[in-house]
Amino acid sequence: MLKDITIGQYIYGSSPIHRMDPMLKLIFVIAYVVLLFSASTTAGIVGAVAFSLIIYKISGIPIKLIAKSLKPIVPVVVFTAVINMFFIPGDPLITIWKLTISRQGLFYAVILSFRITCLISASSLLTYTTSPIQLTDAIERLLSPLKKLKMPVHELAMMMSIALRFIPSLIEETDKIMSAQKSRGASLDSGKLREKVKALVPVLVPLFVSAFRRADELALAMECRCYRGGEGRTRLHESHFSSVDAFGTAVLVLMFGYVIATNCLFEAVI
Amino acid sequence: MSAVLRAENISYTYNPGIPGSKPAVDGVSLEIGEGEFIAVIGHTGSGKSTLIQHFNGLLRPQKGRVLFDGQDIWAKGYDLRALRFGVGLVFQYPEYQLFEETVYKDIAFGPTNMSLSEQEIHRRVLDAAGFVGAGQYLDSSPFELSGGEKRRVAIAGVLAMEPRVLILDEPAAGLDPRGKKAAFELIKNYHESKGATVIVVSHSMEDVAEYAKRVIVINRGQVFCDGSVPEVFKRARELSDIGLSIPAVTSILLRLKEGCPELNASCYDITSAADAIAAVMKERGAALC
Ligand SMILES: Nc1ncnc2c1ncn2[C@@H]1O[C@H](COP(=O)(O)OP(=O)(O)OP(=O)(O)O)[C@@H](O)[C@H]1O
Ligand SMILES: [Mg+2]
Repeated sequence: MLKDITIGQYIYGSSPIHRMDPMLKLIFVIAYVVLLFSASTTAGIVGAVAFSLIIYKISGIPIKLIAKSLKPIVPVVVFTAVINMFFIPGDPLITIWKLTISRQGLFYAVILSFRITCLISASSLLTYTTSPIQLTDAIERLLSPLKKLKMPVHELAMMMSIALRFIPSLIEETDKIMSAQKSRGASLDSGKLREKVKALVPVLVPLFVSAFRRADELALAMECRCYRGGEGRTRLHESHFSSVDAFGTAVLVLMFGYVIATNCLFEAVI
Repeated sequence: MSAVLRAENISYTYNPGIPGSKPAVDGVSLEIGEGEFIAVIGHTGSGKSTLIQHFNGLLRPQKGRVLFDGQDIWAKGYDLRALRFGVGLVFQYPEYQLFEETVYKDIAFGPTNMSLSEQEIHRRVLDAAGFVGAGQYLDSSPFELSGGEKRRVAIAGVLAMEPRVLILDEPAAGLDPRGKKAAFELIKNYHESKGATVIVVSHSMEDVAEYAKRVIVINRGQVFCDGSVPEVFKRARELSDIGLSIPAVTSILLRLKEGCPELNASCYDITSAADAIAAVMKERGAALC
């Protein structure tokens, strides 16, 4: 059951999307979200949605995985859509009891659903095609100007990548300890809340002990390899602006051009 | 001999559906008799740990059935907790599951879950601690012990439930030769004094040959061969093909046996091997004179 958690699940691959510079990818996702929310015409939105579909196709990520990443947000989308549907005033379309659905409300609900769906799938595409290590690296580079303000950017990024690295290990460890205590007759999944909380002690204590042990060992190992923070540290993987990156930038600029053009040419729907 | 545990064609795959996932246990059928001492052998990743977790209901087979005393453990209304008191499982590196303030309390965790009386719990804790030789540190914190001592305490935690079937996953992993011997001796003691069925998982033949009566070799999630120790050792060549080796002494004896069939080749340590060779030489020498 714990194994079903998928945080930042990276799918190995070699598509152009995988090969793109992680920092650029991160910027692109942010830019895409801006694009998504600035498109206010039907043509613009359709274009943005089609764009994300094409990118998914190129990345070679199975469609099943996208569906999986979207599943948890379905209730949120439906809830927001329904609320917007009823509360945006406009030309009445259907009236149920005291509630009226307007044409504008319906439109807005549909567009909003598309926007949220695309937002989530774009950010999951980022985590599907970028390994956690690359991602924290990208964040570090993106935030590096803040170093001038004495922000410990490198340390923060390092903490993040260590945390990410240990999530699967801790999940596995928890699973193992739970099995071991169940073998000794601990009932972890039944009883009242009080009993359940009490039953967690045999799992949490060994888990904390082992987490601290791991942290100790890791600190020692890092020290043994003379780790002293970000000062003067060079990178193993230097990133260069490649042709994929150039192409991606060009496509995104074109997309912006398209959305701005549609916004000017057509009548805004929202 | 009646079967306590039975696996009927069980299969289990971790993360089914993810492309590239292979079954960790693949159509295994086994019958474990009351009072047997069995070794389950296989190299790393062959599915031993996965297999034994089916025997006390921690994993549910995706195909096939597991029966304890003839009853399907996944039938509706079957009490899995009661099963776990009957089939005690000691995990690989069990020292990491200790959690109580004192060794005594930790060993008492299992029996307490069984809702036994105060005196009975007390008796069992002392009994189990005596078995593993942990009597002198019952009042210390389990976190202050050495790795080997922790291991003993963790094993005592399962022994205190006095299971009819005791399963141990690599009980000797990471112990020095003396620690290994001590671990196997205490398991043998438990087996003999309580008449319990014992299943020991290991990837080293050398460790278990002396103790087990029956060896089950697992390869890629399937039963590769299953029989008495000499029967299995006769297939030394096939075993080395799947990455296992038999004790060096035994393989020398098997080679010698090719030239002199009366040699007793089922010896697993140097002393008994020397005796066997001496016996043959004596006989031959007598015949020569
Ligand atoms: N929690 C898990 N999630 C996914 N796959 C697993 C998990 N545990 C084991 N496996 C896989 O199942 C297969 C069998 O593993 P198992 O732990 O049963 O092997 P083993 O024979 O006990 O090996 P070892 O001697 O190293 O303990 C391995 O290929 C392993 O990669
Ligand atoms: Mg194992």
